[in-house]
Amino acid sequence: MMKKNVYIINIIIIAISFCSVSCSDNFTHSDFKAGRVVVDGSIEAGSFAKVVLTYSLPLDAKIDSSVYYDLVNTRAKVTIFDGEQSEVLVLIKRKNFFPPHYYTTRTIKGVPGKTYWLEVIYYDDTIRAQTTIPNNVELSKIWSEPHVNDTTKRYLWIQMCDDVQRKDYYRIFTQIKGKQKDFVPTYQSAFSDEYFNGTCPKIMLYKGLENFFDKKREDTFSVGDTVFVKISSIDKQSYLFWSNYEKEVFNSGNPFAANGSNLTSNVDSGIGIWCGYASKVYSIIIK
Amino acid sequence: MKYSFTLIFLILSISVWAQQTCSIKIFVKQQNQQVLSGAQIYAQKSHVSFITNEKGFALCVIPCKPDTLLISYIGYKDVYVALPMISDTIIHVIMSIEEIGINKVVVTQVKENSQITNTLGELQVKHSELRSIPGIMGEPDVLRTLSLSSGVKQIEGMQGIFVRGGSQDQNLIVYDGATVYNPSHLLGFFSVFNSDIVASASLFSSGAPALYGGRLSSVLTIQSLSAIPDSVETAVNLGVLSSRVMLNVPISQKSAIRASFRKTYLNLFVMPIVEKSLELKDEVSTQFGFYDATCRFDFKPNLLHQFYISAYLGKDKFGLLNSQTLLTNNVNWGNFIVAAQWKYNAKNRWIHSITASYSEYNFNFLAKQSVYTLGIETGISKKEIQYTAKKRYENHTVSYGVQANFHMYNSGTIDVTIENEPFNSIPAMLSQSSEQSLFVEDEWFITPQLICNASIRIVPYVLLGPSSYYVYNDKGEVTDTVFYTQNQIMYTTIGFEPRLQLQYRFSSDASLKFSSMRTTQQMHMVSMLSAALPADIWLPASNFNKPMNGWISSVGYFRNFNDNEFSSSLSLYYKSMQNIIEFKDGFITLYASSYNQKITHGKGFAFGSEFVIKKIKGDFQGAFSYNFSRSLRCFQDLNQGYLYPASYDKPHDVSIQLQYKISSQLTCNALWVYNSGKVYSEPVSKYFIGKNVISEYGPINSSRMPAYHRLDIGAQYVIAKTDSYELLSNISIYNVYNRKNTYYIYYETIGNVNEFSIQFVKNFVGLFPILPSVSIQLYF
Repeated sequence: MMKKNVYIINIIIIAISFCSVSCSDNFTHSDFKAGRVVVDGSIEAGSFAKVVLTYSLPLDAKIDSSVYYDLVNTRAKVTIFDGEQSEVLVLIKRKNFFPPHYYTTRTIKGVPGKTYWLEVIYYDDTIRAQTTIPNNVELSKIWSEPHVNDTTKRYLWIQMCDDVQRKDYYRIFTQIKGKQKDFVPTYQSAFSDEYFNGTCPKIMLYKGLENFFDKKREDTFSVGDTVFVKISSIDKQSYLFWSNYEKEVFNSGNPFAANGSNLTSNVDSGIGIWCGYASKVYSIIIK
Repeated sequence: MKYSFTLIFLILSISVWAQQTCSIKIFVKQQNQQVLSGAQIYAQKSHVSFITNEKGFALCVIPCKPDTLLISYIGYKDVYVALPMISDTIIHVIMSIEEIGINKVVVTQVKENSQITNTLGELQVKHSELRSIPGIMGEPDVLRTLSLSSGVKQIEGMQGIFVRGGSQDQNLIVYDGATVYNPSHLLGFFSVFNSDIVASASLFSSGAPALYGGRLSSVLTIQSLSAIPDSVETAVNLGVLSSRVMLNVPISQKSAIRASFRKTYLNLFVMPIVEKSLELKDEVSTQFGFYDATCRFDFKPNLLHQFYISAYLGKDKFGLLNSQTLLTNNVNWGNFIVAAQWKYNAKNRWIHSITASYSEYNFNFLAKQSVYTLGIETGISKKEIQYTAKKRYENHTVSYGVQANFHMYNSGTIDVTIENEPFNSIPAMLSQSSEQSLFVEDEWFITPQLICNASIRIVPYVLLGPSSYYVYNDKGEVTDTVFYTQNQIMYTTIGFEPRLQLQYRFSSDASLKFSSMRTTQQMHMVSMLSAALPADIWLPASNFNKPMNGWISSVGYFRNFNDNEFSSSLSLYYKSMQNIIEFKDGFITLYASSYNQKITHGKGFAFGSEFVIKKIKGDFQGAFSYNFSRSLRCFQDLNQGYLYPASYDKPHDVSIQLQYKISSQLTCNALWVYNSGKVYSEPVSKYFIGKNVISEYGPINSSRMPAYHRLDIGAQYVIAKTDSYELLSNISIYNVYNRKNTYYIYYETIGNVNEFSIQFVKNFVGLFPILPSVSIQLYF
């Protein structure tokens, strides 16, 4: 009788174990969903602010021209405050750019050392962000060096000197005259001075990816091209966003180094970036 | 008169009560004086059985009445001994091999009713069991064999093992007395332990002996072969993908030296398959290989003293070349360990043991592109000395010991050169710690059925300079740097680890066990990369990253049937873990001194049930196991503070093993495994920044890949066997039905923004398709 009872207990326990179906993995009460407003905004020293508003897309989205307004937000009220005055941005459209619509100021321009607050109101949602334009930065030298194998290609180099007293964050862009409409961030464009604080490093620039369908990324520039190089200083929050952005863009699909976590945004209750730049542009003819 | 009768009756009663059990000490050896661990001693009339321990000794408490003891060990002739009716009798048994042929160790599977008497949570694997499942690419493997047991997981493409919901670093792995920090080669497919020289492996997922500590989840001890052969023994294995050789040379009757070497050549066949599976771009090519070597010297001058020195060296090398960007990556990692042990069996029956060891693990990463060179190095090393003593009394086995170790951590050395000029402003993050432990343990046979094992470990720990760390303000800006000089105490703590085990043996084939223990771990490990490459950073416990601690409790019922032909068990466990760490943003920056700002602290817990049934006798043998388990984490800074599954959380785990000995020459085996898919963080949306697409990820590990299952089959055929040599062939097929088990999921954006045509495509990437292999083994 005792043996029979033990067997019955065995069976019950085993049955319970088998019936222990896995609990839902959804432990999180999450508000993550598509359709959120995305801020891609910037204000450069000496220039008007530029804010692109889009929506985040569901994974099964198929975007074509018929659903343009499912992607681009053209109905928000966007306001900037610089500590002294505020301005509501106007919506303008430019041809042959993606996306064509963006918001811009007509009065307020960027000034080094100033902080700018951004507010986006879209129906019941209010999104806020702030950024500070750091002090100006300069390059001490730009030059090119030959490619190891290809005589039509050259590597582009810069040299800059970093202030030892400050914690600095930088971003670098290039634009090939006549071939690119806008500045394109270089490969690993965002960096901080923690590797070279107070020194004058030489840095080789790798050509960046303009968009996701650039399947073949090249590091070098072609002989004969005129290249504009823009060096910008940015604040820490912007640096954190852009450095994670580059990991996401360049490592997506790589099982050895995929990002897997959300970008560190400085937009409250939103996603994206509001970034202030203090920039200087140089040009060089590759030869 | 009646008082005399009463007095005589009382005296007789007392004497009968006093003689109710006899304590018989039995030593079992082979003819060459080598001890036989795992020999079964069975009292035929009392139906009580015992198993000899690693020293070939068993203390048998048997009812004192006429009986016959059967001492048996498969492969050896049975020995029958009449039970001496006097307590404290010592019996020495010499067993002879049943088949006289090649003088190699033919060890059977684990003793028949070992699960009844073993510690709860103890798994044992003997040398011969390594061939009972199909080998991957012809290689039998101890970790893979263990992973088929309850509570132990191996995940394709991940290093190490995961035991009852703990991470890889929470397992103490000891090889011949020295710690091994990374037990895996090749993305976890092979362990660093060459199966030719593994004598036995014991994994304690709970109820570990008090001798071992320092990790939160489990203890895995591996012993290499220590036999002193009569003549030179050689084993050669040639395979399509790897080869190995072992040589065992007697120096005298009392000493021998054994060496082994193993090397792979995967680039011919496997790496092209992996590149295709991972959908690497055409301009990307990879190379991979590993080697390992062992050496062991044994000296046994007499029955009282045993001495050995054992060493291991292993290295993995991975290379990647992108011919378009001229980027080259070279990565290598590996272990080096050496251990020496002296054991002394004193005449007062105390067994003393002193072990000294050195262990080292290093990871090196080198990337070159144009004039830039980036080198990253991480590593950990340990020097340790340990003394233990053990003595068996009638109903108690008492042991105690002290241990001292010294750790050196390299949590990140970075060298950057530009045009061969060093960029020297990046300091290496080096640190050192000292840890001691004192333990006392008593195994108490309260009655022949009820056994209690209680122990306590006390672990003082100190973190020493030289070192430095930044002090941050509320904005995260560095406001100060604190420096510590050489051997200056930075942090100190004491860990307490009480342990209790209870075991009730209903009979020789049924037992109920309970175990509860507190564990502490004075180091942390975090991964630099999201997957695959073992870019792990070891960090000492400190003021910022407190030592981990936890409780492991489990209960289990074990039952054998039909004269130990079948064994079954059902276990339940619960584990808690405190002060575990993670990097906040996954992939970290390379600047080592800023780790503390990027680390967050939390806790975890795991629970599960494990059911196993096995047929362990006869030509047809098999095992079925089903495990249900969850492993969850909670960090305030991650996942909005909500619970999320650990990356190796797999609720359902099934395995079916079959082995059929068709003839004395041919044995076939098959293995089918099924488990829940691996968790991952699925994007919930995509958005544009500029013209690039960014993923917005949902809750951490909230999605699960498709279930993983595969079938492996294998066969071993004895081509020839004589007194002087044995020639075997092994054929195995991994993933017979070529299932594309998902290793990685990513979304690809296709289209063109300028043409305003965009779509997202979900891609599933597998790792290993069907992989046949063949190998030849020669023993002489």
